[in-house]
Amino acid sequence: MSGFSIDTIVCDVDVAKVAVLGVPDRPGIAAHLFSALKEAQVPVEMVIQSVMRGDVNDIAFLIKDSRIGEAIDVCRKMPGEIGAQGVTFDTEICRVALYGKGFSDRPELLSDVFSALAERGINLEMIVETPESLCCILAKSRSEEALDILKKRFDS
Amino acid sequence: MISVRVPATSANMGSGYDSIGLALGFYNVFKVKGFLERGIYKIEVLGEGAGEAEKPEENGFILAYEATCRRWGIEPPGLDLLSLNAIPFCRGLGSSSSAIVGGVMVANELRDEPLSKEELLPLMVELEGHPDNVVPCCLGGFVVSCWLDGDLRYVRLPCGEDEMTAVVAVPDVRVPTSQARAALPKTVPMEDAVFNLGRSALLAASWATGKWENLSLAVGDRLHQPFRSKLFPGGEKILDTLREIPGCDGVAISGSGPTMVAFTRWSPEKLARPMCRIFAEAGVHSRFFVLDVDRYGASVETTADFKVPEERRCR
Repeated sequence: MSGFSIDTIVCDVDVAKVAVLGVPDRPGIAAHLFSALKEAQVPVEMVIQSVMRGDVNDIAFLIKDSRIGEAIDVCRKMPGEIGAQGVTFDTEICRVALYGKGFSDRPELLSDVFSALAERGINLEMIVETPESLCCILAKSRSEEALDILKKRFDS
Repeated sequence: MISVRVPATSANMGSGYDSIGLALGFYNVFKVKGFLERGIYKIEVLGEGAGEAEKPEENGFILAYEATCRRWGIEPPGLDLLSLNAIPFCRGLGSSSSAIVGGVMVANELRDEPLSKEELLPLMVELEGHPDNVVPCCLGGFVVSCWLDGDLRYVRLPCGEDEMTAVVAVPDVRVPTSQARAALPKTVPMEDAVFNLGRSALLAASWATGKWENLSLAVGDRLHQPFRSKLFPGGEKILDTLREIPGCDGVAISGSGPTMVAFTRWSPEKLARPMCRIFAEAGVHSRFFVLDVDRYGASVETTADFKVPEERRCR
């Protein structure tokens, strides 16, 4: 039997999403972007590079909402520096996360979580799963509702 | 491969209804991977508009490309097209103009002696129907333009544009251009016309000379924004609220909306947050861009190994 359990379900509203659009698929591009963010001392989480055809990718990631000013200063230069098509920022989001263990042994967890949110019409902007966490990025305006749904459904 | 990179644009800028536009530093990229038989189009759209623009008869780039070829007396060869779209559809950021400029510029590559961008502009404006997005999209920068019965006049303003940042908030709703135009009155009071005349002239003169302190007054408008700001949630409140924020050098509806654009020489964050918060309070999610002015407009690159077949060239 697997060691699956959900230990806690939390919501973090101190997050913002940055998406660098149309990044050329060349070695060193991601290094350039994240080195610049590191130099500006902007911590980054949940980096996702899309599987995109046509020799370009989108790179999205989270930062602390309180660091959005520094992130803007760095990322707005990317169209000129790396040939990206553009950069978008989203400060009206939150992260609802389930933490526990053995998540990989319960593939139905994903469909159960996503279905519970979808039943209320809550759209997911980003999703990241690890063996010990499932993080969903959604609109900040739906944060309390999402947390309430998931706690009722999954808190034991 | 032929690759065309085309900037977004923000038209009107408040007082400059249908006559002023600004090119912004984010882009659609149209890549022609090959030519196909006449009438055959292979279209792949990635990003904005994916799932909506794959049919040739609904794709603005293809329609502009075909119309341009026909105007020059050639049957347009089909295209293998990859459309990488970053400019949101139907949000007031010139996505349709980007497609027209891209389509015309690819058709131009079929010519033995391609025309200059300036020579292509009248056709681009004719295809779009008005100049305020197409001209800055093609040339870059801040452009004042007029179009009457095929006669295009424009001035691209020289200025210290690197001083000014555009903060663009894009909500997750659409306002069709037809609806935005239908919302406007057929006639306007003389005092409103005078109100806009003074401000649009001040806007152009101030932008050209870097008199940024005039901008917040100069973008004032009574001709379209009072009507269009009611067509989408949060529009009126953003106009009212942003005007009062220190460091805001002006706020306007971008094009026919619902995107809002604000200008600043200081902290873009201080304008972006309230814009997006007001949209959220009105029940609409939004995201924002922080943009420099694009100075160069549309650009085309053709890889060395890519040749237009001899029989498909326009002489």
